[in-house]
Order: sequence, then C-alpha cells, then structure tokens
Amino acid sequence: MAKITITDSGQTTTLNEANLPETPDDGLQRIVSVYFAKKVVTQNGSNVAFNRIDSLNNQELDYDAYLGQTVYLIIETSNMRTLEIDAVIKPTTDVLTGNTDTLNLLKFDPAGAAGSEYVASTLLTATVGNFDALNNRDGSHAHYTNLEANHADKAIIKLQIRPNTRATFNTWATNLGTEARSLEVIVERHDKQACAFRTNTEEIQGAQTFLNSDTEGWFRIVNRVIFTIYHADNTYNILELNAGTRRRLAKIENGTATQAVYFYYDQHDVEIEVATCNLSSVLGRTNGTRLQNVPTGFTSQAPAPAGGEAQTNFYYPNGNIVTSGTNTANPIVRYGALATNVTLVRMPDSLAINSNGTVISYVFSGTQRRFCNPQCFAAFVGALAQFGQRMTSTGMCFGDATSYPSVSHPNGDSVDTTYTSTLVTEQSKVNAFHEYGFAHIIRGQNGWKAQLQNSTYHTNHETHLHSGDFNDNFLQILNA
Amino acid sequence: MKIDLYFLLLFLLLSCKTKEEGLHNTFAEKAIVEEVPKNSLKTYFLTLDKTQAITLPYGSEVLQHHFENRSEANTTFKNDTAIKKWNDSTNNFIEIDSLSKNRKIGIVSYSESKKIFDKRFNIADTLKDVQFKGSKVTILDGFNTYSLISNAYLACKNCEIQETCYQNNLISTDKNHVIQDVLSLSFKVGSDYGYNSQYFYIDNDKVIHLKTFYEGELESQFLDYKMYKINKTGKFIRYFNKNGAYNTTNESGTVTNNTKDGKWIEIFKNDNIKNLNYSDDYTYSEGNYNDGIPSGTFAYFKLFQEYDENGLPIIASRKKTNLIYTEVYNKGKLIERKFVK
Repeated sequence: MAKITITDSGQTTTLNEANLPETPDDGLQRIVSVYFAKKVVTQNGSNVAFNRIDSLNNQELDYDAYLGQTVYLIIETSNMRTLEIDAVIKPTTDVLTGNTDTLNLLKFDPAGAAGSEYVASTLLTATVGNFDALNNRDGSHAHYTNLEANHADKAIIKLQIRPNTRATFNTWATNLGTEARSLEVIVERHDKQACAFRTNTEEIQGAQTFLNSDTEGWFRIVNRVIFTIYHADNTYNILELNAGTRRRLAKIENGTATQAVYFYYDQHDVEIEVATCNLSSVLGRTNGTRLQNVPTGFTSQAPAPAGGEAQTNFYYPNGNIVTSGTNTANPIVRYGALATNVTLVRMPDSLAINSNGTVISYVFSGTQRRFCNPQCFAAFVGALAQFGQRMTSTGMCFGDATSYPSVSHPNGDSVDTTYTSTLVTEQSKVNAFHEYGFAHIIRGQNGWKAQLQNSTYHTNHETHLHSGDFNDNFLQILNA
Repeated sequence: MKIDLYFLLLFLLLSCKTKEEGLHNTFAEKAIVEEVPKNSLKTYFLTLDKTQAITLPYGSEVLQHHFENRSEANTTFKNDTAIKKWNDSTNNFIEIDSLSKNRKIGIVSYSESKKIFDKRFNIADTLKDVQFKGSKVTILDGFNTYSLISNAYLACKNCEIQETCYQNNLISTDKNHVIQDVLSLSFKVGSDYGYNSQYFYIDNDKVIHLKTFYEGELESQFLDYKMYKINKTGKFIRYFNKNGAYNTTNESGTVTNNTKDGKWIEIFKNDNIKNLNYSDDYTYSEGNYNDGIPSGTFAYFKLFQEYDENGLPIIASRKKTNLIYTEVYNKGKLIERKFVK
C-alpha cells in the first residue's frame, strides 16, 4: 500500500518506499485520534475540555461548523509528549476549492503581535503537551488548572476555517452554496519517524488521514454569517481597539449565507450559541410619514402580518409602501423606497438563555415587528447579556423593512424596550445599550427618566426607551 | 376635611348601592327618579357651582403665538427644539390646569360620562365610573359652562402600546343643569408612536380658539384651526372673523353675524359612514344653518376624490356621488337620521 507524507510546505506527497526512515525502537508511540472540537470551559474558567464536532457527534445536524468559525484541531496521542506533529486539512472533494489540495487556513499564533494572532498556513504543526494554543491575549493559559491532568497527550491547534483573503473566501462560499462539505485531516510526525495510528499496534512511517469515513465521522462545514459577541472582561477577545476601547463585536461576512449565527463568549470564554436567524435582503425604507389618506394609485394590497396594529399594506409602482392600521395618531403611514437593499434577520420570538450565570433574555410585547439588521441584533444580544435581566421589546421592523405604527424604525436599526421599574435598573440597561454601540439612546423626561445618563430626551418616549443608530465602528469585520 | 367626609359618604353610598343592587331594584329605580343619583353629572355640576369658577381668558396662551394661523393645509415641523418647546408649553398648561386647586374631583358613571366624551375616541368600556377634574367656567350669563377633564385608556385591540386619552370638554347647561351642548376644548390621544392633540384658548371676547395637531415621533403637524362661540341657547357655534362669502376647499357658504347662515356645503371625514365599507369616509353635505345652528334637512353624499402621494385630496378629482343619509334638525337638535337603503 502506498504511503503519503506531509512536506515542509504543507502539501502531501507519496512516499518513495526505498527511502522510508527506520522505525525507532523506543516503544509504541501512537496518534490515537484526530478531531475538530469546541473549547468547553467550566468551573468558573478553571477547567477546559474539548467537545468533538463531527458527524458522529452532531447526528441531528447535517453540518458541524461554519466557514470562518474558530475551532480547535485536537490530535490525541500516547507516548509522544513534546514531539511535534504536522497536520494539513483538505477538502474531501474538489467542490470547495476546485481541487483537493491542502487548505491554506488561519492558524492561531500565540507569539503573534496584536492584530497578527492568526497567520495563514497550510502546514499546521503543534507540539504534544504544549498549551499555548489556549493562551489569552495576555499570553497566559495558567487559569486552566486541568491541562496537565487532562490534556498533556494532546497536540492542540486553534484555527479559523477560512482563507486569508476575501476573494478566496468568496470563492469557497460560492462553491459551498447551501450544501455542507466535509474536510479531512492528514497527520504525521514532524520528524517523519514512525508511529502507530488509531488502535493499530504497528508503528509505520508516513501520514494518515482522519475524518474521512462513516465510522470515524466527517467534519462538515456550511455557510453562515458569524457574529461573535464578547463579555467586557473576556481576555480571549483580541478584537481591535475602537477609540481606545476594545471592540466586543465581530463578524464574518458571507454573501452566500442565508442565515446568521450569533455566538456569545462570557468572561470565562464560555461559548453560548445564542441564535441562528434567517437572513433576507429587501429594499431599504425611509422613515415613515404620517398621511391622512391612502394615496391613489396603488397596484396591489395585502394584509399586514397579524398580531399588531398594522392592518393593510398598499404597494405603489415607485416602490412606496403605505400601511394602514389601528393606531389612533398614525392611521396611515407611508414608507418610501431607498435606492439600496438592506439586510435583515428574523429575530427569535423570544430568548430565555440562562447559562452559567449568563442571562440573555427578551420577549416581544404585542408587536410583530421582529426583524432587524444583523449587527443591531448582535449588539442587542451583547446588551442583553450585560444587563442580565429580561427585556421587553416593543419591536423593530417588519420583514419588508417598514415599521408601522412607528415612523422611526424602518430597516430595523434600532431597538425599543419598555422601561424597567427603577432608575438604577434602567440606567444599567441604558449603559448596556451604550457600551454595545447604540449611538442614540432616547428617553422620556417624566419622573426619574430625566436622570438617565448616556441618553437624550425626545418627546414621545415616556413609555419606551429607544436604542438606535448602531455605530458600525463597534463591530470588526474579520474577513474584510 | 369637609371634602374627605363628602367623598367618604359618597363611597359608602355607592358601596351600599352596589351590594344591594340585585335585591332592591325597585328601590333603586325609585331613588333614581326621585333623587339625583350621587354619581350623576347633575350632582357633579351642583358641586362645581359652589366652587370658584375659571374666568377668561382661559387656555394655552401659547396657542396665539405658535404655528400658523391657517385653517387648512398641513404645516409640518421637523425641528426637534421647536417641537420640544411647543410640547413643553402645551403640556405645562394641561398639567397646571389639571392640578389647579380650584378643580374638584367628581366620580360619574361611565354611561353618563359617554354623553360628554368626544365620540371620536373609543374609550375602553371596562370602566364602571369615570373620574373627572372639573371647574365651572364663566363665559356667558344665563348658561352654566363647565370644563371637565378626564384621563382614560382607549379600547385596546392589538394595540402595541396602550393609548391614553386626555380630554377637556366644555359643557353648557341650562339653569336646571340640563346639558345643552358639549365642545371638545382639548385632547391629547395616542401613545409614544404619536398623538392627536387639540389645544384651546378662550379669549376675553369669549371666542374659543381650537387648534389641532399631530405630534409624532419625528415631526409635528399643524392640522386645523377653528373658532367657536356660545350662542344665546347655549349651543357652541362656529365663529368667523369676517362676514360675507366664505369659501375654502372643505367649506363654503355665507357668514352672517360672524357665524354660518344659510346654505352650506361641507366636506369632511364622516364617522357616521365608517362601517359602510367605503374606501374612505369623506362625505359631501348640503344643509342650512340658522344663526350658526343646523336647521332643516342635511343631505350627506359620498364624496369621490383621489389622493396625491402625500395623501392629500386632489381637489380637481372631487365628485359628489350617491346620497348616503339625511338628517333633520330642529333648532340645532337632531330629530332624525335616515340612511338610504
């Protein structure tokens, strides 16, 4: 049987049988298993484990990770401490890249300077028992107290499953389309010496391929827009500073994705997959204008989504949408058409996450305006987690970007919430919105509302707080 | 202390009545006939007669200085500062007026309160009683006039934010406290998504100035300006500065003695046809006024008109179409309303 090996440049090649290195006579050394994993942190950040993510462990899903997602490649060994192991990752078929060459991916470099922590690499080399892949931005992993006990025989590689250029990313995303495609891993001792693989007792030279069979599982990736939201005190947050303050929101853009996924990382870097939301692109809308009558000339009409004050939408050749409804002051509102589309996510009807002290919880009041722009929802999730109590939202926008009965919420770029019962609690909420990038927070002026900091007064805000105009500077596009 | 005792007594009487309603219907009916019910408007008016009356001028003085003096065409204001200033001044007046120590609180049954509520607003009918803050207003000798302020919620069907309804209604009664007419002086109805509002000013010449607005999230609009006076029979009638022909896009006729007189054509959104499934509620009416009060037969026709992009009527497109209903008035009192089948 022909053997393969990994070259110094991270490619694979067939070994010349005549030049095989001699098998070392130093006992059985073994690469037991190779798998992709998520980091699982428990015990207030002192314990770390790795949960496999592949077809054997995600049987209810047809995918295991997202293009661009940060994951760990774990190589479990025995009798190989301090030895280096090479790994390369290849697509199982040529659909993703047009061939099955090894992928050039972003590997975490613990020695990298700020902003260069990930470097493009086809050859992914790691040392068994070295835990620098678990370093935080201060270069430390000492807070994990179970490393020697539980992970000393592992080679750990932290990587982002994406290329380093946007053009290549877009090619991969286009090729992926709406399907899941699997990646496999080829590993070999860096010193090219022999070792045993899996449960075999024979030490052999050359590389072996993992994650390429139904019995060992497949690692399948799909397209998603990925939002990453950090707790303020998360030391694994290596996002760039914005005006002296570290950003807390990151995004992997993906023009092919039909869904966006939102990850929250708490102060111990515990990952919470908050939500997956459907994406849509619709014509942007101007602020609404209150009209006294429905203009003549609409070409069609349709009932508005049931459950709120909107009743009927009227559609015009110039793109205008006029909505009539039961609101006393705004019985008819016109939303003009912008020249460009806006992207919206359909928010979950509610969230009630309570995990390891992190509470991300909201409900909607009697509104069906449950769409908003994707980054606005990311910032809302951050504000929810920081606030740590349930918020009641009075709505964003509809799926067509209109916002009846409100004239001020087209395109879903703001969040309305009802006031809490005390100044202290409400101030905490306002601060959360403020710190996650909402530029204009508008309040009322009656009672203690006048004392709310980080907000400005505007008429018509005595029963709800308006958090709007998310500042894009608070968000870092990782694959810009 | 005296007031507290009065209300304690009133409460006890109401409580007793509630408990015994089912058992003593006959007694209760008899009491209504023979005595003035404690939660009636009449009882309340009698109470207000004993308190200090509001004298003229009365109302939002700022009304004279803000916004345009036009009776038609919308004027939109987008300047946040101007809106805030306007909002503060009008709300301040409402607050000061509502909290005036000369106003007296009165509890009136919901069924009677409906007589004076502005019928454009669908007040939640879950109320048993309505609390008013009232005061007598000295306007015209020979008639009593009362300003009754109430705050309520509108009926809520699919409402996203509960809509509130502040009203200040001016009621004229004869000397026996029989209601002659009701005029909506002021209202602010809506929610944070916007309010419909009306503010008033009654000047020293007893002219009642009413201006209506839309106060939205982003802009405010001046919508309408009308003037009224009380006539010698206690009816509120339109007042005009000039006599002679009056002709606007929505009203045309002759003004005599500063009020409507003779045949008038009026175009307006007519709540009476709301449930008849027309595409809009505008009617074209023809009828006669006699010294400001409707007299004889008024005919209401469906008005066909088109609307421009801003929802404003295209005047050239207007057509008077089918007759919908007629009304017959006698000395200002509606005698009959008959819909065409």
